[in-house]
Amino acid sequence: MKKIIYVFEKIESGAYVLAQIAAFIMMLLTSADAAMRYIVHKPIVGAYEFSESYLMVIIIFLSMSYVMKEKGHIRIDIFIEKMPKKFVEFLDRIYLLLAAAFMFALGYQGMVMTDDAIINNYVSSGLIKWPTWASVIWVPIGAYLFTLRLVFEFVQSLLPNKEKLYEERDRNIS
Amino acid sequence: MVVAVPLVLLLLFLALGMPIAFALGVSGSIGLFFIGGWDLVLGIIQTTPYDSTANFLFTTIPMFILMAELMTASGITKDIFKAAHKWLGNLPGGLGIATVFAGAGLGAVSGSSTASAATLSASAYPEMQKYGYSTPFSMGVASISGTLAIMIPPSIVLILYGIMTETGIGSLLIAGIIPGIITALGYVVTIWIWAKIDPKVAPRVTDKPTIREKFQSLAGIWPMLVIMLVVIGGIYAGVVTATEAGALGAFATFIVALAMKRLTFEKINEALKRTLKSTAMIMTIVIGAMILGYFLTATQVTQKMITFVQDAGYSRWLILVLVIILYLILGVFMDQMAILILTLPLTFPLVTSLGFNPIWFGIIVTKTAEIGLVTPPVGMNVFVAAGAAGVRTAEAFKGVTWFVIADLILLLILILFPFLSTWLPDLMMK
Amino acid sequence: ACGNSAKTQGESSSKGKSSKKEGEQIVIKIADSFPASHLIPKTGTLPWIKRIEELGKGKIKIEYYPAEQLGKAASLLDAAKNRVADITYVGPLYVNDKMPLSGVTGNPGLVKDAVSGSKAFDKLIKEDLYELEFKPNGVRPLWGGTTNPYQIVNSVHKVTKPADFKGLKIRTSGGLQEEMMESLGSTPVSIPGPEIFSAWDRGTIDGTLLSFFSWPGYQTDKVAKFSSKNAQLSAFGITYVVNEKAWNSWPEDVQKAITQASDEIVEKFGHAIIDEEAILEEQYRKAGVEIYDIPEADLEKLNEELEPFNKKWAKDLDAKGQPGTKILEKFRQYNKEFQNK
Ligand code: NA
Ligand code: NA
Repeated sequence: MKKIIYVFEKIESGAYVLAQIAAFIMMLLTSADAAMRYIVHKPIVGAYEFSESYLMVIIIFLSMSYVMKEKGHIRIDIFIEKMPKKFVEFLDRIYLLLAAAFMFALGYQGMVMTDDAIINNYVSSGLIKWPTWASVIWVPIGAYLFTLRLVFEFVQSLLPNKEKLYEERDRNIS
Repeated sequence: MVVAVPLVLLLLFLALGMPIAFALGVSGSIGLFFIGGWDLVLGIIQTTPYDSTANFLFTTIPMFILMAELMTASGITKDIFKAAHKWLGNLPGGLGIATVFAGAGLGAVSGSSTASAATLSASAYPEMQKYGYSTPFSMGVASISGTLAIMIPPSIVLILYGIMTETGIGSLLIAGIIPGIITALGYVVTIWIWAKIDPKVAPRVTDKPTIREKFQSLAGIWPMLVIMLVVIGGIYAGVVTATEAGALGAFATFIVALAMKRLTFEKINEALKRTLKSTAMIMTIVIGAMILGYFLTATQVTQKMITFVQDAGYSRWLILVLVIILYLILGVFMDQMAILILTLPLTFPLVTSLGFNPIWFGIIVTKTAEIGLVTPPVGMNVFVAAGAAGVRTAEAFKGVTWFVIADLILLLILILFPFLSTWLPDLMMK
Repeated sequence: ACGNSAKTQGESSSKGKSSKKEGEQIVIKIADSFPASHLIPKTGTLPWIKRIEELGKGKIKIEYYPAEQLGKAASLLDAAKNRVADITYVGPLYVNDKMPLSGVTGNPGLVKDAVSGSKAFDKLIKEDLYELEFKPNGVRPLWGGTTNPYQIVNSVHKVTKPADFKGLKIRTSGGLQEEMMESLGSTPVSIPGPEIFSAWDRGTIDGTLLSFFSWPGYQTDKVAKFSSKNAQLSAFGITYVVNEKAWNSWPEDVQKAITQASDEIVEKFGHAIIDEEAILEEQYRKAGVEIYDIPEADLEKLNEELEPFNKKWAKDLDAKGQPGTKILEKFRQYNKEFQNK
């Protein structure tokens, strides 16, 4: 189990790095596109579509799971602070399962969409014929990673306290 | 009944600490299942996550956050606070007033209030501690000053409002200038009064910086001025659209910080990480909120409510007041982005059909969003400020009470005097 | 505890629903992406819905979900396919990857006006495109229409000849428009719809391709100075489609009522668009916008210049094993047929 989780975490942080790179590229590409358009009247062909359909999807979906690890998905804790710890732990397990089921459904449906796009060879029109599948595929990848993260956290929550399947991060919202 | 169950479930999930994104998504899916079975749930779940993210207008969210994070990572924001401190520190509650000014300055370049609150808290809190300011006071000031970033342009809240209602984003952003300045002044007055009434919370700072020191501190604000010039100049000269301005701002910050030798690879990495953390959090909530939103529209509760309200023959002002109260209540316990996405399809047609100005309504909604950012239990700015300073959230929430009262008065002023919001955009857009 | 209560509550609620008496009435969900004030619902969708209910004689109840309430324009085809709604609007240009052939209305020089264009497109989707692009997606077209063709609207100078396009920064919605503007020497610019006005106002763009009925949505009258009136720079096609399974589950008289209402709306829609645009045109003329006809000879030259795009469009599709050339020629033929009527 530990080994599986180790491999998973490697993939998860790899995805996070890719999302970081995508954000950085978005900054450069959008600025360059605007500059080219303004100065030489030649915008970068496809910059808009690339940011919208590829970078944006990568940024969001490849970081979701890692952000869960960092406890970045906020919740209202003002009430549960006053509840018994055991009860809160019990609730957390339910949430993890519900969330895992939800993310799995998202991933599965995303896969159906990706599959459709590959089989039918969907491409966009315009100066660059972007393949649709390469834009949609980040949804199932990200959602499945997230599902695994949630499942692992669920398993972790069942284990006695000392045993750690993975290193837990501090809650740090900023 | 069909509408009630998933909504009760949602409130239960939220109150019992389920991450907000999942509470929205799961209760929305359950609701969809009730009305349309698996076909409907799976159909919505298939297209919504992709549709809500692959949208160019939303690129502005990570980009403006990245800009703010780069400013923080490179210490540019710290310098702004230092300058404000040197000039205003001697007034009653002077460090607090300095924080408001720093928040307004930061707000003029950043569109993200949470990023702004984190920065202000990290740089202002230690200073205020040093001079014996009370923790709730310091936290209240840092949290509330952060909210200025969504009223003073650029603002991701106003941009989102523009996207969702197809109101001109340019006009909306300009409309935020005067209300933003009034709000900042309102906070200053609040601090002043508070410090006068209860001097213990903010002891007078006695060490007087020399004129020389004051002017030296101004050297620290040029990077912000350059970035401001690039962003605002870029928008008005037509180099970039309001959406693209975030990317250009982030790039300008990147270059300025590099030129100042303030960026290392680690710092860039850290800024990107924090950017993704906020972005993924916001956008996951957006996806959840969209799913819940589809459930709400599929029950036609929205249309029914609008028809009901319209047929009831209430005066338009009463309806407006009800809508604003709805926003204030939602703002108490929900994320601002999620609220806008959930409610605007419902409230915008209603309010504009009653003849209210769409730009003015955008400003009113933004004002309620500012209030929601600091009210418990979900007050993102307070969370973030407390997190950055390492303070308990309960302690921090204590400090916002007076500011919320001030904000409510400011809200009333903005409602009663629409020209405060519409005069400038009318002037500039002919 | 929370999980359990959710379950029991859920069961009782779904029971409550099924125990509702099931009358004869058939409820049909129609979804589109247009805000209620938009001209397409005003001239097409709403009168059509009214007519269906009229012909249904109380047996059909329509629930209408406008303004992206059940999905964005690009996902409405999926919404019909997955039966999120029974009937949805599908704009082929929004789902260009899935329905490239149906995007033929976006080609230049074919559609002359909304009436002949709508009749031609309606015929094309029912007779030629149904098997090719609708059936595979699990839907059946009910009716189709086109707007008046797009015009070149800008704030720099009158555009009548191909050379006049040179150097203008023109906002396009991608696709073929982007390619055409590029080849005519304009700079095609991609910006989101809500930002057209401010981008135009500040000179990020000089103009865009638009038909009159879209002007109000973008505050175009405040920034535009010139607009052509008779150019044929491509047209926007709309279709309303029904989920095939839903369709087959409805009794024959319901199908009949819908078919009749759909057949009737095509021409009405075309005329209503032309009438509404005439009113708008008058209004904009009075506001000082120069609205001009491109001289016949110049128009011919412009269309000639753009004709290679049709050829290329068709050939690209042929190469992918789709009958691009055939559909293009059919659509041209239908347009001519209805123009002469
Ligand atoms: Na701002
Ligand atoms: Na709140």
